[in-house]
Amino acid sequence: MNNVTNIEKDTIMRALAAGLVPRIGLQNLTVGRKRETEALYRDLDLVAGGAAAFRLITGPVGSGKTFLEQMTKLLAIKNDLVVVHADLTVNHRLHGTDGKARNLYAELMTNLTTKALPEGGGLRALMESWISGLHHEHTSLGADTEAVKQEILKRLRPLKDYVGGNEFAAVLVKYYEGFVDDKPELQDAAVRWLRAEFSTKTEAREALGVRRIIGDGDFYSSLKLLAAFCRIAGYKGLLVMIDELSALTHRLPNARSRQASFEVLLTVINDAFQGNVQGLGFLVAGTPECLTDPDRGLFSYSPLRSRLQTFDQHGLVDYSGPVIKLEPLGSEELVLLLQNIRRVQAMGDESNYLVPDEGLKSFLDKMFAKLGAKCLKNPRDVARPFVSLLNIIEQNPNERWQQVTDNIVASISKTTPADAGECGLDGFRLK
Amino acid sequence: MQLGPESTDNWIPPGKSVEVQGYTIQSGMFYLGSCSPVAVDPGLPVSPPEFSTAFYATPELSYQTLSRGQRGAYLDWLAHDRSEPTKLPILFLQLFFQGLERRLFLDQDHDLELGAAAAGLLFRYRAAQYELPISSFLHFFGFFSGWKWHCVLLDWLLGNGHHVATEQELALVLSSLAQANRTLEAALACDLVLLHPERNPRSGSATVQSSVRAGFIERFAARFPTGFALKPASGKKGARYRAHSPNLAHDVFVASGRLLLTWDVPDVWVANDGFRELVQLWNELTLEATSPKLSVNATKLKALAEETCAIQGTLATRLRAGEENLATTPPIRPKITESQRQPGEQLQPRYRAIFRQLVQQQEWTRQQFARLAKQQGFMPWGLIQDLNNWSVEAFRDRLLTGEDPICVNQRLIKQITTQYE
Repeated sequence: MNNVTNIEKDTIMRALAAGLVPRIGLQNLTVGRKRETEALYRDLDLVAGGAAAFRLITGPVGSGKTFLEQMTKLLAIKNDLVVVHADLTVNHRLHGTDGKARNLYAELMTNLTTKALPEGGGLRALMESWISGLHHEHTSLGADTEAVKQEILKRLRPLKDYVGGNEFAAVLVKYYEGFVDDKPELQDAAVRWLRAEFSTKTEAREALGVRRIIGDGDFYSSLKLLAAFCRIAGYKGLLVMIDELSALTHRLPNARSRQASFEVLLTVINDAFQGNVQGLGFLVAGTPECLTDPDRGLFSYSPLRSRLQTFDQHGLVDYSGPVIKLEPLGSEELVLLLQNIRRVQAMGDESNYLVPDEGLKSFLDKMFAKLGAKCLKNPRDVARPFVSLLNIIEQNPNERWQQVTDNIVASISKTTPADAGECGLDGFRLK
Repeated sequence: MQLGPESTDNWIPPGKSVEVQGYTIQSGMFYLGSCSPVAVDPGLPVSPPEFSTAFYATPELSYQTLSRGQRGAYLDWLAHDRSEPTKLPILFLQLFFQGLERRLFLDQDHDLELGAAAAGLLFRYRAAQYELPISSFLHFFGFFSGWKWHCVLLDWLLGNGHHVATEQELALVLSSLAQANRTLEAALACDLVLLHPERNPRSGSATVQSSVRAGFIERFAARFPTGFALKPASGKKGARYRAHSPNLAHDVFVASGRLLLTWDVPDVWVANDGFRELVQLWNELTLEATSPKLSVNATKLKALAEETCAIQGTLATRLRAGEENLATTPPIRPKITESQRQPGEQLQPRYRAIFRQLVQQQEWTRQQFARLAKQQGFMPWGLIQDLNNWSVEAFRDRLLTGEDPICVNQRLIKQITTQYE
């Protein structure tokens, strides 16, 4: 077992008590999922190695999709990848004609994450860090700002092979100009362009002098472009994480809109499988119906069906396939989750465990008696009160765990926020 | 003493010796005469004792209706130590107990010997408690004798494993305990809850009841270490004795005009809010005991634990890759030369000056930070990115957090200072 540091303990316990997925130390909470996790970091290695990857995670509510995504995100950041993530909604789609695909791209850019800025908002930092590096490199040798601009264009020349690559380079030069000439509005306009926030070309031309914008039809090509820039900027690639696939499959009323989004997804999958793109990974998550529903799921579109269908049988799963199917958490997983939390609290030292094994069982039995099978469906409903139990005993060493357990279980309402749609570790909001 | 038939029955107290049909009875506690059905009619012939457990009581049970052999057996039992439980037919006990009932409720005799006789029956003929209301009789006897005696009796009953089994008994017991300023103890609280109308009926089965009782006693003790304090009653309620003797109520009515065998007792139940707190505790435990338990497969758990251990190790290795040379806690002071003796020694030289300026303050407004960066020729967001990249690589934590204000991680500064001071 790995050790738990003070920082990890504090962060994890605070986050769990608040119903959040902790930012660090997630590995300490992981329960099982060995092969799934291994499959995911094989994908990350591929992306970091300059190839492409596509993975779809399906699992019922509360099976830990979001937790696994968060873990993948940490691993990706550690692997020197830039990560962008967003949830699909009816207004954030893979394809749209009225700004809805642009909205999704903008959301992804807002949530751009790097090692230095794990909470998101990293687009500007990513850009500035690279430009700033060039600026110092050249001005320290006596070069002027014009030379730096030329250097930016020179370094970004490989992007010309991508749709919008010229404009991307021009916008970065404008951003640099804004810095040098102290024109924050010019810098802001450049960021708006990069975030796909210009809705018309005229507007973009007036602000930045470029003839193109990132539009609804440029969703995927712009991500490829960004992935290429990330590699130029010193990162190994880009991981795109998209959650709530059900918004695309089951909340779009129009079959044509759905199919158009499916086509974007098909292009992504084809590129990933054929090696047409470098340093770009996609991780998409949704419920099993998003995939298998013959009327609305991805399988309703035969090209996707032929690419995503796997032939698992009798518990034998092919983890090299594009789909990872997560089974719902069982009682054994729940026991281990509580054991993990207990271990984190004790910083890995068994002699500091505040609740014995018997206490874990008693707590779970009582929670099960109170909440019924719901406590399996929503592990958060069990994890949060358990953290409270540990916190209370830690702060009041004279209290008996039996009494505290009784009080905590008695104070739990049968109707929890999880009933309102947030469930299990899935329900932990991401920081 | 030789007695013949008389117009009224005589109560023979203990110690008064009588001889009936050749049997000398010295322990008393029965009626002698021919008026009431329970009285021993000395004129009726008897034959040698005939014991049979096949004797059953009839609604017309009386000494007169017994056969000669049964009468002989009854007199034999009365004459001896009345402690032969194996052969004694229940009808003899019934006959004897009905005599005690008449004495208490009809003749209003509160002699302690009466209670002792009933307690003796209960003690020796334990099974009789299911046929006869001996326990109830004792509580009424205790209530008539005063709360002190009732409390003594109660302690004796509870100490011998008897429970308060009816609402009437409970009313009497609570009344006496409240008057004695005594608290309700766990065992009695269990009895109370079992009689509570709001008790979860799922605790009816013996198995559930037994497990709930154990948990209840434990939690009761934890919640009320000195017992449940009883609030004194302000009102009254009726407690009715359900007599075993078929004609007792009629005879009491004829003798005293009392229509029912009911007495007013202080209403401790209402004064204590119906003991809701106790029944809620019981019901919670019942719910726990009767709810399905989380089933955990030990083999699966073991395999999953091994898998978890393996993946946690792998993940930790991955997430901490390259951190082998990081500062550890407690920090090991590295051997460094004078030229290296400065914060952020791994930081690129171009960031050192601004690093020193940044750590002078705990936080910077975004505007201040942007101005400072600009003065030093840095782009502010790029500076944050670069400094954080360095600190995450070197110390596993970010130096700068937040957007406005931008905070300087003091814990990290302390760590850096400790390591490089």
